[in-house]
Amino acid sequence: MQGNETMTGSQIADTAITTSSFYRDDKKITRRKTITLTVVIVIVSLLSLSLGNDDSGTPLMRYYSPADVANVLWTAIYLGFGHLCNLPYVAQSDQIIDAVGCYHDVLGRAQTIGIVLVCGMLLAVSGMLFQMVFKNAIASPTMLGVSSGVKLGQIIAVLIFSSAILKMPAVIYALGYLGGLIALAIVLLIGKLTGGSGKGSFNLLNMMLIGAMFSEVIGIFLTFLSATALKGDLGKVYDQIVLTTSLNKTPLAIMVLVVTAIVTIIPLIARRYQLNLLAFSDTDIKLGGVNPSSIRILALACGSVMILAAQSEVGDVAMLSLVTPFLSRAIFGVEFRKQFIGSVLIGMIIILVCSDISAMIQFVSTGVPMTVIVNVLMVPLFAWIMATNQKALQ
Amino acid sequence: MSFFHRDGHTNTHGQADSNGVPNSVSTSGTNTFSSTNVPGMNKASGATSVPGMDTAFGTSKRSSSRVQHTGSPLDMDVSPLATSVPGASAVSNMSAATDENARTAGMPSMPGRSGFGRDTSMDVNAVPSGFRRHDEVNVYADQMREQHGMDKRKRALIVLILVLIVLIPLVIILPYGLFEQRIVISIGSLNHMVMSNVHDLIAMFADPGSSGSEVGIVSRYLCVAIAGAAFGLTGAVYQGALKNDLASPTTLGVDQGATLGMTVFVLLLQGTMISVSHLPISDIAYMMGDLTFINWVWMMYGRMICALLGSFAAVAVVLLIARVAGHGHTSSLWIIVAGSILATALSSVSSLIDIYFETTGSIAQEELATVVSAKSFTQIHSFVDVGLLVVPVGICLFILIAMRSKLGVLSFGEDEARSMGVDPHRTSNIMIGVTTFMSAVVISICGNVAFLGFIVPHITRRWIGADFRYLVPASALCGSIVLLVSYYASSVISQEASSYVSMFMSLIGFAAFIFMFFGKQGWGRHAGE
Repeated sequence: MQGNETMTGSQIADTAITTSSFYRDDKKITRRKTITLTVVIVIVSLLSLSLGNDDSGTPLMRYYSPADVANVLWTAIYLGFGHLCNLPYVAQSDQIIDAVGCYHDVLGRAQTIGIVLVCGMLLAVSGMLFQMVFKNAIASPTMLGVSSGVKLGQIIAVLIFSSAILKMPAVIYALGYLGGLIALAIVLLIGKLTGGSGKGSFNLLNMMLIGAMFSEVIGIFLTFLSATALKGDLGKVYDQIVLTTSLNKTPLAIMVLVVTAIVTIIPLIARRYQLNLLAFSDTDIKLGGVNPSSIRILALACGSVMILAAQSEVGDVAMLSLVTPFLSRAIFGVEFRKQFIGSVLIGMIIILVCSDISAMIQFVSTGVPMTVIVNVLMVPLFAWIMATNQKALQ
Repeated sequence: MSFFHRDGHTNTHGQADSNGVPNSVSTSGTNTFSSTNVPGMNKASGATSVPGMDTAFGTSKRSSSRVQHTGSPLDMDVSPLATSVPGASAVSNMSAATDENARTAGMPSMPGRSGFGRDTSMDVNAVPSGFRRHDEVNVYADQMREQHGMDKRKRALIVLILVLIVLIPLVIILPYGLFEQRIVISIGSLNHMVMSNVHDLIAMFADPGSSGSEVGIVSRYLCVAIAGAAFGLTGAVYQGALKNDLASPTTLGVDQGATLGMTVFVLLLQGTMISVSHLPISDIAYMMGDLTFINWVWMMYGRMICALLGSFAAVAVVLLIARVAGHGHTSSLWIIVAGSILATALSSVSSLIDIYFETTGSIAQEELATVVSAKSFTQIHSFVDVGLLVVPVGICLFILIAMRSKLGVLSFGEDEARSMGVDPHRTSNIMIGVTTFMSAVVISICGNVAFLGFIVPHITRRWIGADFRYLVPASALCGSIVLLVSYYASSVISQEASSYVSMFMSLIGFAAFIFMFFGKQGWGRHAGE
């Protein structure tokens, strides 16, 4: 500022007011965007309660009027309250449910929506974390071998149990989870062994390369296996599992998903200010009073576990975690807290819309897998958002 | 030598200059001059194809480290002055001999110095003996090391070329199906098989009109070598031009586009040009007059043409998205992001088609499986195919190898590149365009082995360093060797080699990469450059 000497006290005060009002405006804008997106989520959820996502096995969509949906929701609250307080009308709960009609269908849809929303949140946040840690635009959370590990576990499950595996989702889930964890452990181990001496020293670039190569190697093996061992019926079984035309709604899966979400999101929120430091160099992070490798490992571990949980539920939707951070940066800016909120909301909206679309389209004997919808829909969305917004360039 | 490079040494040098110390200045001047004029170094940096430009700028980090080394005598001469500067206490661990020698070089003791440093009231006119010689020895050793490094790179290139020259005849001559006949082979039978193979080869070359299995094998191995070179070079160029370590030939969606094009061909276009769909495809049918020329070309090369068109279309869409997203500027960030997004989208469309035909059980399913599963080198039968591959790929390889040193300039950043007379956008666009064309041609003719292009440059970089003048040709040679070995290994295991190639390739590549990491003292000493 050149006119420093001539600046009077009132001018300085003006500047201060302008600055503070700028930040206030900024905060207001962010809040407005957050509220808008939240409202969009609620509306889309209500819409998909009434017209999407039928999980009864038939690909045909069934439409329930908003009145029916409202009725079901009211009944659910009513019965829940009754159970909670042990009121006398609970004894007639069967009759009440029968009177409503579509009670189980709509509640099933609500369950699906809940699972899908949590998965969208996990996918988006993990993508954001990986792009922040590796400072690479195409770094995706599947890079540390998690995704390939899950698929390998599922293929092994198919090879062991053949077509009977479709009846035991818990085994698929467990083997997929195990495969992902083993792959992650192998990559981290190799990264640690090659990262040089010293406590907790990870060479980030090396680990990224090793992870990428390892998952590519497993991927080639998967292609080979599915071309040779999984011919015919087994291939169909495997496709059904990997592309996940139906969600896994067993209580175990839901519990694991929710616990994972809580366990991974809480440390991130607790260290939200420190995660901003990831944009700087090692020296600057140390100057900020934070151990760079510990914060990185926290981010990587949380991201990997998130993608593991989400992928064993909704399938290989890594595209979401690549694109959502870009959209979030375009709309909310680069600050971690805003980016976090934006990623969560945008990820939820996208995955919910995609799951609705996939439920509405009839294709062959099943629906179109949600993965395909997400992957195809991302291309125009990405181009449009990027063309209309400059902020994402950072 | 890290303690010579500290902040503020230019200031101290300025002080020495202004104090009028002719001896010191001239000493440092001659030192620097002589050290930059070592003939070996000039020879080393002049050994490039593009004259003028990369003698000065072509090296990336190695050259900067050389500048540091040669600059060190200049720092050293003035270093005692620096001890007088408060805060430069790091210098105090310099040996007393250095201090004394610097004084002998004609430095006056500065006023106020005794307050901080050691005592300075010593003789100023002693003979300059130990210090300068010691320093010259150091510089010389550095130069020798540099020169040795250069030599080592050249030697590595020569070794790679020799290995390739030996490997190609070897894999052709060595017999097939060793392990199928029996695990323990006797030397006699091996010898017999080798001799018969050599016999067949000689007969093949003697008779120009021959079209036996030997022609197929030889041409397939030639194609393997060329494809390996093309993919190795593609990966190195992509990683340099896009400035991203995760870039690979598939980043722009080339292979997914090719797969989609082949799928479209198999499903929709295959039967359109000819009524009899199960005619034996050969050039004999064309010669007999059963087929018109266009039909013949379509039967023989329709799949390749569709693959080529598909990959071009994919790349065009990627560039379009990148241009739209970048508001008219096509930057490498948008290219790479748009590429990876579109590649995923295309692959999921392909998988959707796959699901459809798997569920409906169409006739084309078996053929489609060969398209979708990563089978490679199945369509090469004659030297005509080799020619189809060699001509475009050869031209592209020539262009890229001629332009390779500009990649080093690009790695400095846009402004620096521009100030060195290189248009960064134009250069990187040309290189990416040529590379993409080349990889599209190779993928459409040979099949998808593009993982090679990701892994080979990383292996080579850890061996030969990040200097693109050496990295680019070395990546090409390494890619060739890795693919040849993989193809041979897979053909030993099974007659149907094509389905095992990518598996062997990924295994060999990954093992080599890990080996490079662990061998930090030896081959991996350039790691991190």
